[in-house]
Amino acid sequence: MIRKQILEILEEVCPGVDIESQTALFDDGIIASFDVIHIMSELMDVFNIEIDADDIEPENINSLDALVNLVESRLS
Amino acid sequence: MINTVLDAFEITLDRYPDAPAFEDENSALTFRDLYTGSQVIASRLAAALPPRTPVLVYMPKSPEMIRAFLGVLYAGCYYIPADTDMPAERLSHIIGTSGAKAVICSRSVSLPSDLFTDSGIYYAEDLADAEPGPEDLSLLSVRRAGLTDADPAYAIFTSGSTGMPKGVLIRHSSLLKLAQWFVETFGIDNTEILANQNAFFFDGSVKEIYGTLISGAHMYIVPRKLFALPARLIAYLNEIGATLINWMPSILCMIVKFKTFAKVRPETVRKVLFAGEVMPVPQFLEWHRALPDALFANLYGPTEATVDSTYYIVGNAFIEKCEAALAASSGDTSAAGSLSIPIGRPCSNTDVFLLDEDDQPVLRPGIAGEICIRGTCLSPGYINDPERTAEVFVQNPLNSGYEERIYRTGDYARYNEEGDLVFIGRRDSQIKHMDHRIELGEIEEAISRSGQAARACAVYDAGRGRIIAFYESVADVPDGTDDQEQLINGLKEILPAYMLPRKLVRLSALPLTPGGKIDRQALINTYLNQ
Repeated sequence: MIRKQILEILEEVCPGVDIESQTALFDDGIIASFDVIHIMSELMDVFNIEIDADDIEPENINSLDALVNLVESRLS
Repeated sequence: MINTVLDAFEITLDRYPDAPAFEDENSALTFRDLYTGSQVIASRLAAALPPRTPVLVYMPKSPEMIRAFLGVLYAGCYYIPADTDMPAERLSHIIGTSGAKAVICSRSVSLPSDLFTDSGIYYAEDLADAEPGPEDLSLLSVRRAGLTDADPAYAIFTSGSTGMPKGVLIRHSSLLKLAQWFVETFGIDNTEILANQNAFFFDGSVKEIYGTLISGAHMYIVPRKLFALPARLIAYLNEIGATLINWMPSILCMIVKFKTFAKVRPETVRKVLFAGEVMPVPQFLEWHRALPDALFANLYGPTEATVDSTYYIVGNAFIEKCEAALAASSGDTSAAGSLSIPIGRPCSNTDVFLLDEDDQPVLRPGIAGEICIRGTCLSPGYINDPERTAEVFVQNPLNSGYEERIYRTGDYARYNEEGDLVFIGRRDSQIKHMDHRIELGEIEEAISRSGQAARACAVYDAGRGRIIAFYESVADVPDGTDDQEQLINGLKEILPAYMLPRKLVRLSALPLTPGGKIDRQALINTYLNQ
């Protein structure tokens, strides 16, 4: 469920990109700088979690799996 | 006599020839590098182009791009900085409207073919090492002698409501005054270290570039990716020892939102400027707490009046008022949020006044009026577009004695009790998104033109910072089953990325006002305020 919601947020930001197969969403510039902030804000709103400056690091935003892990760690 | 930014730049060149001027991850150029490199570029351009003609500069943001700007100016021409991510159609419109026959570009970007003949393309890399000959230098001195401060220095294209961007021309006199005002007002000298965020095709960067060139300051171009990584961004400022930032409010707010100051604080920043959007008071107060001794200034101005027209240096009285409002509401930030930071008073050599619906001056506090601007700062108009120029650059209705143009901004403001201007909003459907001035009409026109939609209405969800577009599809298909991917891909061909709607909503019919126009407010009420 969490995965599906995050996927939807990412698909809205990058239409036409096969998100599941990407492992360098940020490093390859598939998601632009301003989109990262948008995605993090959406995650905070949708899951009602806190995301701090320290969490916003390339390794946490390069793939769908990494974002799912980040959200799950904040939910627990 | 100092008539243009070139005269002022050469004073810096004499004083600090070998000091670093502009720097990014890949290179650093001193003032001398800028001068010698720009002479090479200028002599090539001057040999091929008449003076006062446009030259497109199409390359990634870099110190070399500023050298290219100077090269164009030394040739007696004016430059049009272009976004290398811009769709080909938009680029082609800019070239068509301006009549640009030459482009300075970089080998690292692919220039869409057929826009220029081979002889009109100058690669920045090829110009770097050549040496101008004596005949080149004599041509440049002829060009320099013929240059007046009424000649254009640059043109920046902004969004236009009829679907086509318009090119705002800016004269040397306006540019020099802006740079001098910036340097004097904020006390900028050769010890200043600027951390640049604004794109070079956007006019927010103009005062940073020319402020550096005329003062001997040192400007770093902040790597773009850092604007996604708040903790690293602040660490970077500390690393370079940045003393001045001139950033869009959405970035300052992002830093607050992710509680960045709890991890890392800016240690060297002394001046924080913001412009282009409204800076909310609660986030401003967080910045003030992180940097209690810094100068904070709110700037306002349209591209048509050369970047900045008014400014407000946030004083202690205002900060105390905000803190008191916040304390009285026991920490509820919405109380402080209802206060707004004024846009202040006119910049030096600029007159800003308010006109009411009957073109009478608004003088009393609290009454809204349209912001109108007079002075050397005014653009001569939009390139090759006398019609749209005549709509907004008009005779001053308060002056019947002689010809005097003013610029009607379409922005509304009021005076507060202290006599400072406070921004209210726009008359039309122009929005500010990611610091870009966008006409929603341009997005609507692009959707209608895509062939996938009959009519469209774009709205701005300011709370979440996104553009949503509603449309009626041409084909008779049930709601939500048409090919939105095809539509969005079509839009990508026409619109720059920052103008793309975040969300497309297909409706069987758009709501209409009693007058038969698309009811934008009804869409906002139904979809945004639910």
